[in-house]
Amino acid sequence: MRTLRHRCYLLIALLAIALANAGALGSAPAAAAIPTPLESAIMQTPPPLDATATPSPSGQVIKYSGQLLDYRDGFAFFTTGDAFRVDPNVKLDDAATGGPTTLVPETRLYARATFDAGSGGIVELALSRTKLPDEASYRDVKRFAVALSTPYANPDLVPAEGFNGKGVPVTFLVEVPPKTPFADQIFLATDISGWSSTAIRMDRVDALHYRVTRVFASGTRLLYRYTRGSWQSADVDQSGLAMKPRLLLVKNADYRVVRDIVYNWQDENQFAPDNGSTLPTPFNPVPFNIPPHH
Amino acid sequence: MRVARTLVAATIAFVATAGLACAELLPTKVDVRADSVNFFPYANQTLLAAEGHVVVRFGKRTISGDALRWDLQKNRLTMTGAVRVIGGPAEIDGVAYERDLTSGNAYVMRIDPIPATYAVTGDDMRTAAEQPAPPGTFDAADLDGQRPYMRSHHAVVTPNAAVRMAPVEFPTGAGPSLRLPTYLYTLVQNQYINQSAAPATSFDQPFSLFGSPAALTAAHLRYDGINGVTEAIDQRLVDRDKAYLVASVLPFRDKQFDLLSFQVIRPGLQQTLSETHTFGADGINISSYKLQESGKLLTQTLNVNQFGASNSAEFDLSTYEHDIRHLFGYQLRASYGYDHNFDGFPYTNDYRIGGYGLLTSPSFTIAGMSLQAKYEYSLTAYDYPHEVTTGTTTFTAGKQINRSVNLFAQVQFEQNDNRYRDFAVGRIALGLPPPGIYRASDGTPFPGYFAYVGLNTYRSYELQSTINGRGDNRVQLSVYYNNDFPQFHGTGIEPLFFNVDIVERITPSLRIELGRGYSFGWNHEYLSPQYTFAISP
Repeated sequence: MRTLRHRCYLLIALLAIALANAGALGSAPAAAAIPTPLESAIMQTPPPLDATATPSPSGQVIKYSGQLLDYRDGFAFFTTGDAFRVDPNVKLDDAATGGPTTLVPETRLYARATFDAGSGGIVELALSRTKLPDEASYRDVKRFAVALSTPYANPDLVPAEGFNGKGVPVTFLVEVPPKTPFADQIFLATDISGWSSTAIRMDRVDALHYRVTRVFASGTRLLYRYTRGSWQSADVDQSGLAMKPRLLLVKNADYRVVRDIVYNWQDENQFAPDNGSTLPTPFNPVPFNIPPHH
Repeated sequence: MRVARTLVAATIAFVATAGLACAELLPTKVDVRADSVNFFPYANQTLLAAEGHVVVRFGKRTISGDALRWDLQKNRLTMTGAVRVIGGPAEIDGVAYERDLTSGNAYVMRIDPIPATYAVTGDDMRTAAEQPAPPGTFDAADLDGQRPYMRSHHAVVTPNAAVRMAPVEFPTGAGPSLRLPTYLYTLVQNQYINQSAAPATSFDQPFSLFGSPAALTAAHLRYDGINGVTEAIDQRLVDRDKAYLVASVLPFRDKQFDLLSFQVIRPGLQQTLSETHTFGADGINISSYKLQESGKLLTQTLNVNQFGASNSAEFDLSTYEHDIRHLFGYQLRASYGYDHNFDGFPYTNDYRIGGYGLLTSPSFTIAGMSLQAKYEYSLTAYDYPHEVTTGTTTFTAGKQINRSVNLFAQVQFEQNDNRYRDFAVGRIALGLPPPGIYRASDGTPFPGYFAYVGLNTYRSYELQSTINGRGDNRVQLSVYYNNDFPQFHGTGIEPLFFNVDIVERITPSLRIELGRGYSFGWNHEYLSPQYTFAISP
């Protein structure tokens, strides 16, 4: 009986695809026809549910939280890129109180969908304007998605693998050269702050160390430099030459510490004696030098 | 100055080709209109978000929908709602559309005849492959509770270069918003795009005017204690990580033109040229050229400077800073130079050799207090019999009192000896420098340089405490005490200086820094307040 039902599903799906190819299912006249070849459709895995099938409910439920892309024609679309069939008697309520809601399902709202594990349809949709805590994982409900399936993804658009996007507190701990003027402040300049030389001010830890903590989503690729408040006083490499920006790739972690060393500052006059003038002169008309930090 | 002229020519040449190097297969201009267009240049991503009747136009394409999220770093835009893409081979309808602007590839989610997602190339649905989009393809950043940096109904985006909004509103969260007719926010990720050639000042608020992936024109509102409020305009040109050129004009009170150019000739070899010209009766030209090369053991530097009619050149050899583990660190340098001092006294020209040594202790902790010490010594021997030596000893200590209060202290002793050996002053008939007796700004007379044979000592004691609040908020108190020899009334360093610095984040996009300092017992002024003021995002 079960095999017979699956064959029926397959037949219906193939029929729907064939009709779609022929433009018989009412695709918008202004839109382009979608020439999915029948051969490739046969090779594809049949959809677990189609638009017309109504499997019987099991009574078991799975809850999944996400953000809505759209809600129409009996389907709820999530930002995962999947559409899920909505039960005709779906209950809409407020995610916070569980009571009635004035919200209407629409794009960008957050929703907690309750799936009937047997039918795969959404029987309850709790709505919220703010992000909802995670419930079941995406894998648990992926099988209810209504879509034809192929194993291939467009490689240009695949998100970075291995990053969950959660916020990771990153502590930058930098050791500055002993020649750093005592009263100077240390800053982080980053590409995401337009390379402002005073973007992130650091806290002094001890004589030679400064520290600051910022939260970045995992997967963030950050370029940064250390400065003393201007680009004339940015860090340079051990040989005194200008350097490329430092790179940080934020990986999935609960916490991360980045340890750096600044060997030299660009404005350190490493070679001329501190005789208080731009040009060394045989006779010093200014007897009282003023150290550079005042 | 033939070298300088050659460098200027080379700089102009690379600048002329800089724009070509950055060409990409991206739309040059993208026009975005909506009921509300918001820009979020925050830490995790640079995002343009638009809501309500959104229309995006670039080239022949028009994409319309209900909501837009555009990651400006990855150049990926997602339109949702009733999406329509026209201008391609055929019109596309759907509920969501995600496009990679660099490749032109896109995902479309449609609901007719059944919900399905298609991978599309070149907006040509004839090539569409029906397949589930990878999870997260249409995911949107959670902007709940975030205040945009700027907001408008219209934005023009030059991918990888800039976002211009006109008119624009800057929500502050603290009362009325700031409104401007137009504002340009640069997206250029080149680290040199914010280089500056203008002299440092206590307050500098840039206002970007025009931008491209390789250039930025900006106006500046500046403030310093001498010139007051002034304006500046600068032009920056960058060529990847290899070169940049910055030209800056201060046309009003400062009346100054500055040029700064930099080039990486090859890895380990760099050159820098800077020029300053001040206008007016005291107008002068200052030029500086530096060529640096780093080797395995030593770095070599050639410095050429011109100051009006005087000039100098210097060649330096330096070791890297080495650490002898658990003992100390050291660095050594040697230099040879030439000076031409126009109308100089007693010499017009001279040669000099120099040596420099740095000795640093490791940082160690005693009773919860971190300690560190260093000693620097430099000697410059000019043409006989002139010598200048400087020795500096510095001790630094820091202690964290609790989670929010830190205490730091530094003691520094510096001794300078600028002298003519072997009683040469008398033998070469230098005499005392006219007038022999100087007068301080308050009229107090004091003896000239030879009274102390150029010997002076600086002893400075600095104490600093930082009280950290939540986030960026903090108060920093500093006290400086200087006990110098010779210390003359009204000249030299003030004996006692107190400074308080307060940083307060008013809103997520506005931080204010206020500083106030007092001098005591200096130049008959026992209370000499100084202010600093800065605003940053």
